[in-house]
Amino acid sequence: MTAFAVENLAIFGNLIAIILSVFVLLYAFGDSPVFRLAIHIFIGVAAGYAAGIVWHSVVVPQLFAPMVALEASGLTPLDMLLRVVLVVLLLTKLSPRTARFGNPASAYLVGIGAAVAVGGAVRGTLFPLASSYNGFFAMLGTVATLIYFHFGARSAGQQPPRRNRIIEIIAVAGKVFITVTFAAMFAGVFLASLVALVERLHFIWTNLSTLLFG
Amino acid sequence: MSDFGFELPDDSEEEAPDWLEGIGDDAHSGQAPPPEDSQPAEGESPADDALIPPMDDHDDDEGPDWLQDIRSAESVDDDREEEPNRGDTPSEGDPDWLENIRQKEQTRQQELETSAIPEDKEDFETYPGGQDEYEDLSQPSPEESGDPSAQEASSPDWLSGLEDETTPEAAPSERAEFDAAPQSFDDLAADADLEDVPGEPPSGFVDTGSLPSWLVDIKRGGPPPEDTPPDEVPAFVSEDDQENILPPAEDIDLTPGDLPSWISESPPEEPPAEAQAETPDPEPEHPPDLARANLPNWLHAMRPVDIPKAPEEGLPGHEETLGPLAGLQNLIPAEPDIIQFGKSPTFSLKLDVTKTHERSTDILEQLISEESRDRKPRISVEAITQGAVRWVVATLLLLSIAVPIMLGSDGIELPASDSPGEGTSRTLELIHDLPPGGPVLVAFDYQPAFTGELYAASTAVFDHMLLRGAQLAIFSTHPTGASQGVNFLQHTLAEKHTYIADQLYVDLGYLAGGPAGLRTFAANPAGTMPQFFDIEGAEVSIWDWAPLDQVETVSDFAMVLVLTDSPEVARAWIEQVDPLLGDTPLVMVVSEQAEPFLIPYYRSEAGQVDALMAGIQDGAYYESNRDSEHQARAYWNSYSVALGISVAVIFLGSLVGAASMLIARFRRPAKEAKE
Amino acid sequence: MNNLNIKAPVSTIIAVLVAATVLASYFLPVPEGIPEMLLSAAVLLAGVALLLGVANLFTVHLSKIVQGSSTALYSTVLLVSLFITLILTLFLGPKGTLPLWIFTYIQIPIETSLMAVLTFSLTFAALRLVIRRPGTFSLIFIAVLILVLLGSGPIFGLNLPIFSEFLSPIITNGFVLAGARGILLGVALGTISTGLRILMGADRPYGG
Repeated sequence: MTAFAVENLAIFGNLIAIILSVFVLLYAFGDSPVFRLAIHIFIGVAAGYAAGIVWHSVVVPQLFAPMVALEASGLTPLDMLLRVVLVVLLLTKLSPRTARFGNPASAYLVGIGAAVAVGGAVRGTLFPLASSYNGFFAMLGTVATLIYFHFGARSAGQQPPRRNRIIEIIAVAGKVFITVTFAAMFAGVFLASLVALVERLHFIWTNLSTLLFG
Repeated sequence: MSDFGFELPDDSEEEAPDWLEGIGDDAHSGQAPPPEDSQPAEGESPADDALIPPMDDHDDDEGPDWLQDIRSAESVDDDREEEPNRGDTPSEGDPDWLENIRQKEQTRQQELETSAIPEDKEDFETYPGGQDEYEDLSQPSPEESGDPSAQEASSPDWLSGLEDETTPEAAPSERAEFDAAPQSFDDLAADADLEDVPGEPPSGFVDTGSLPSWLVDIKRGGPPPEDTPPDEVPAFVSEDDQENILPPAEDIDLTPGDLPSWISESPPEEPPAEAQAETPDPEPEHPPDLARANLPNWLHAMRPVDIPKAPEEGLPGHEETLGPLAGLQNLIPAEPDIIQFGKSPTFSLKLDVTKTHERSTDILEQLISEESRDRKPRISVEAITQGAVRWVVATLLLLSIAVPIMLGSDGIELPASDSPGEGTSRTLELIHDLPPGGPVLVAFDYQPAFTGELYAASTAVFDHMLLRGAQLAIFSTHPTGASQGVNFLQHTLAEKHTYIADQLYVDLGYLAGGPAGLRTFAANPAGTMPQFFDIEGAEVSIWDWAPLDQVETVSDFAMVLVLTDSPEVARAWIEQVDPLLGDTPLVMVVSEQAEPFLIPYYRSEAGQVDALMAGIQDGAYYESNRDSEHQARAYWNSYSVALGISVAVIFLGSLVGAASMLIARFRRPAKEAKE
Repeated sequence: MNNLNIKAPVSTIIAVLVAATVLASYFLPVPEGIPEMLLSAAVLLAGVALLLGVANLFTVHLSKIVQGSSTALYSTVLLVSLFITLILTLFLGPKGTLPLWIFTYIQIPIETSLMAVLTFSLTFAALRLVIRRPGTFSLIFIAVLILVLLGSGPIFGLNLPIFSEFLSPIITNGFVLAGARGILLGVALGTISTGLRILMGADRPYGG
């Protein structure tokens, strides 16, 4: 593609981007048909682009290319057989009538996911974080937060079940720590969105002024 | 005692015939002989005669006495057929009861002759015994009258076995039924309450003194049988007679003026049945010229001859009209009532609606009609207020950002370079310590929505790395991450740095599988993400090309830089890749929203994250320290103003909320005190 | 075909065996190559699963168009966008000019704008929080929020060190560190218990 075409494509692209950004930002003042139109365009583009990337980055190099050149791929025949069988079984999920034949492939994915999650949680989170000491206050806060999520209670006859009194007091402290943590997380989300808004308006103004004023 | 007024001789010594034993268990032996006229009446089965063996087939000395009597009676009957007045010449050797019967018949026949009974009614009259039999039946049975001598004298012996068939309870009803049975065609007409009866009943029949009680009841206009359908015809009446006797019901005009005089007369009060039973009716006179039928009395008595009266006791009457059981009453119907064919009854569809129903119906109708009506929702004051506040807030924020951008000033300075955050300082150190030309694995694991923030946070970092000569290998566990990296490098840094694809950076592509993909990539990067590119017509694996030719595991990289917006993705990198990194530093540049959940990893004693930068503020710190202006600088003014406006709005709104909460708390005790 | 009777035991055995093998590789020496073989096959399957998701999206919106629902026009727009982008990406590659143009000038602007619109909603929600849910913890929440925001940058150009260098670090390195660590430990414990249930075959979310 020539540079001229590329440049014009960029200008046209910026114009499209400005229009679509305005369509979405109008949602600040209420829902509108143009907002829904922009959203549906986005979903279609995102799904199509992701599918194309998966095809080029995963399916072709890891399934079709080894079929053509098994030795060059470094895979064993067992490896290849396993992949082919699992992919075929998973594709049966496309139809409700044959969906049950894809259960073994789903089970395979679930088993792998569970094992990876458990191994990572134990090795990457449980041991390192539980053995870390960052001061008594931090340790107290950690314990209080964990106790807050303990909901075991004894029934007291006709009265509703209640937790142990000491547990209740520590749980209140844990609730404070959790509230502060979520407030900080809320602040982070707000700041991220604020920067996105600044970036969008900056983009619109910059490109609009370039388009209008050169 | 039988039900028919006859007393059967108690000849228990004699053996009863089988046919008679079959009739009753306690049948007395020595059954009464059959009536004199043993010829079967019209319509009777010839087999009836077979029950009585003919006279010639047996000697006089054989069989029980009653049988001999029957035979002798038959022979007398045969003789009588030749005589016009058979009843006038009593036979020698006849029993007294037979003589009585004969006399009665003669008397009755004489009466009939004088009353000019139509000939077509001969069938009834010709049966042996005829009226006499019915008279006898209408008379109280000797048992009922309580006269033992009469019991023995009036009831033939042969009938004694028959009385066992009937139950004591049913006996009176059957007797009454028999009494009520009409004995002539006139009686039939009277029962049917028909006008068009061929022939007038003879005037002689009005004389109730010579008639049996049941007949008297009918003449006196007694109550018709309960279940007697007016249009039914007895089974023995031939079809021809039916047409004469029973016109269609719709043609019957039942106006009182058209009824015969004797029907329209007010019936005298019916004497009780017991009184009737106690008053013996005078013996009817037999017309002399009536031929006697050979039908035995006992057989004829058993036969359903007329429209029976509904029994006064016992089961409700159901008269069969079809089939061999036609005319019989008190039968179990062949079909249950529920499947009786015929026109089904029609029920009125008119509902019984009360005023309450009508009111409820009106309300329901109103509700339904309101549903279909387009109603504009009522907008409350609160909704209007909220909408106005929303508009004000949106306008304020937009203006706070747009005005500084439009003004284009850089009035607000970046944070001071001597006080960067701890994470920023650490990142500076690590990048400064990168070996020149060392491969750096960069993961663009964020969504396109966070492009602006992560651009602002990481531009200076990339600038620093590239100035250190790092060779980048970019990939992503997000489908569009690799494209974002290419965008970032080609468009953002191209202003200051010239990056030629595949020379200063390699694009490894998309790594699927999330944590599982990271786990396998960390152990075998080349096997997990094979890449080939064409160099002068030859396919070369990217892992055989610098800078990746030195890499066998992830720990062979000089540094791993992860850009992400998600705490889960960051945790996956920490859990799956960090244990295999060894001494290779893991640096994370994340969005502000992910920072709170990465601080524990950053602060852990295991040092799982070597450096952590978050958001535009740390990017501004880095730019300030590097003395370079990138995206953070461009956004800083608007960011600062918008941040102030946001804090102010949130603070004011919370202040109003807190004030209203406190006021409500103070008012509550006052209200409670008032109450 | 119905008599093949692929039942839960087969899927369960597969899930348990695969999970046990991969988990063992985290802590025990396992014959080399087997965990990598299993994991690489899982990577391929995850990619194919994403394609199945896109196919499902296609069928859902196609059915909306066929049934003539009220959103059929929007579904048409979606399917047209998907079709054009997919074809271009398949034939030209993700780094091709047109696919990259679509990603750069359509997907990124819309997605970033969606994130930007969140600012208005979060601001509106924060200012009404105490009004809608009056209580102590709502006040704590708002107070911490304002403190963190004040320490996140200059307010109207004014640097406030008391917030940025004193209060904000206390909140971050004290309360947030403890609270986040407790939450992460709780999440890890839950992950372990759920994963072990799948490993034992007690939970079978794969249609067993």
